[in-house]
Amino acid sequence: MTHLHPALSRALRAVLLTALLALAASTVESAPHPDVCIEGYVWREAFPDDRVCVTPDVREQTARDNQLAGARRETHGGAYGADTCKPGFVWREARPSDHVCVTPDVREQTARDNRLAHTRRLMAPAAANGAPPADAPATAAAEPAFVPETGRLPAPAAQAPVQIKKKMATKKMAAKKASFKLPEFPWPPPPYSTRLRLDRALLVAGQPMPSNGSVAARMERALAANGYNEVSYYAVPDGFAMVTQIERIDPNAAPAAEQRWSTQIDPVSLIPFSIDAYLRALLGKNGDTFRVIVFTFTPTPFTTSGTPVRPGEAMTWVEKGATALPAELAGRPYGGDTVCTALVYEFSISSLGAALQRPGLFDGQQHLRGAGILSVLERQP
Amino acid sequence: MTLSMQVARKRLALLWFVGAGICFAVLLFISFFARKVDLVGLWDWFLPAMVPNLSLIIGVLVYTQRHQEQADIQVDCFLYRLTLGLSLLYIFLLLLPLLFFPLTGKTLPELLDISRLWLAAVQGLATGVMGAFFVRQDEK
Repeated sequence: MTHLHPALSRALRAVLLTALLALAASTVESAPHPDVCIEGYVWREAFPDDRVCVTPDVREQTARDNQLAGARRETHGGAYGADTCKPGFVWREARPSDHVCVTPDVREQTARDNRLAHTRRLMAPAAANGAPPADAPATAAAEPAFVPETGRLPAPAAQAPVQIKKKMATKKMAAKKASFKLPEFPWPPPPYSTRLRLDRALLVAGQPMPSNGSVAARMERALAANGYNEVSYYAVPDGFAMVTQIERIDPNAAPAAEQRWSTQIDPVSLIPFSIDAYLRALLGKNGDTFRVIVFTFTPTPFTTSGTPVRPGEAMTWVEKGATALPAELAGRPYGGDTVCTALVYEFSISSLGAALQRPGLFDGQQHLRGAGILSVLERQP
Repeated sequence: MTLSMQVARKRLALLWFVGAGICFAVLLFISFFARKVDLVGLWDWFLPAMVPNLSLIIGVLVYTQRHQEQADIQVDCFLYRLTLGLSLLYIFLLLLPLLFFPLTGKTLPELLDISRLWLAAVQGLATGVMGAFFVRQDEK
């Protein structure tokens, strides 16, 4: 057996170790940081390693508060030592040891951001690997303990049982969240009035690593900007769907100025009584056009089921869907082959009842442009 | 006070056929000229409400006509008026949703569904008393 010179052997071991370390480092670098924020959010950085995702405004506020921290402490200390805040200020508590003095509303905002941290991350949080480090930023699991405005921490012994109960409740909630399944949208979807395939660039603009959550958030913002405040989520094969509530539209496919969300048909008035209005109502010529838009996000091509949806059923889609994407689905990358298709269901509702219009009065482009959704998506960076 | 059975039958038959005719005319008008109406549902509501009673009336009248040797029976006026009143009520309740739905703010299908609640009650009573007049009476 050949024996190496001891010096050479040591040198060889050092080289191998260095190579291994470099390989590990490159693997770590190539993997995205587990706390990358979804589009529109940035790290708060209230302290080093603070990776809670907040809006840019909050980040700037946090930086300002850090700069002014010294000016907001009592000059000669106080009941709570050197960190005692001046009247009107309280400890921010972005983490338990965070004693930067801020206004009470900033403290509330900080607690809210901590609770919502897990919903704003691009990838699944590190909770899958076990509990986060003790000094890590507070996650949705932690509830801030009540602290008087002077910023004094309660006695640690009194907090322990409360914290244990809270941790147990949080674990149960986390288990419920993890097991939540989106309701399934009827698939293949019922025959629609018209459809429009949305350009991918509209949905992922400015996002280097889009996820389902970031794309859904972008679409929600575009919908909310046009008054669609009720959006529900469904599961579809390999993806998800977003459903809007039924709305009345005008002859230009724009949302109606009056009674937009009401499906009621006004009765013919008795006083004064109009024969013309009565006959129009008798023959169903007093109707209006309504629509429901279903945005499907799936790489799987699809046809229709062939069974038309009853108007009453389509009207309840928004009630039966989920209010948000589950975190697990939201954290998945938005696939390069995922296609967003807007299915528009157009209904005519008159005094003789409701009926699906196929084909619709408008095409998909007219519907989405009339609704203002396309223009907002095109404008948003 | 009594009334001839033949006279009572003819008057009741006239009431039912005129009432059914008015309903039929309104439905035909809607079927031809209305937009986006569920015609199947509409006629499905009307036909079972009228056709059985009309068939009964026609059948008994034809039979009576063929067997004119039968002695004319006298019926109590109270029974006749009760039958007339219930028949009028039933026909009115049939016409009510057809003619008044534009004034209610409800759609026609909604109102037709609701009308089954009260029609079921009155139909039984009206059909029951009609049986006193429109039943085959063979000679013993």
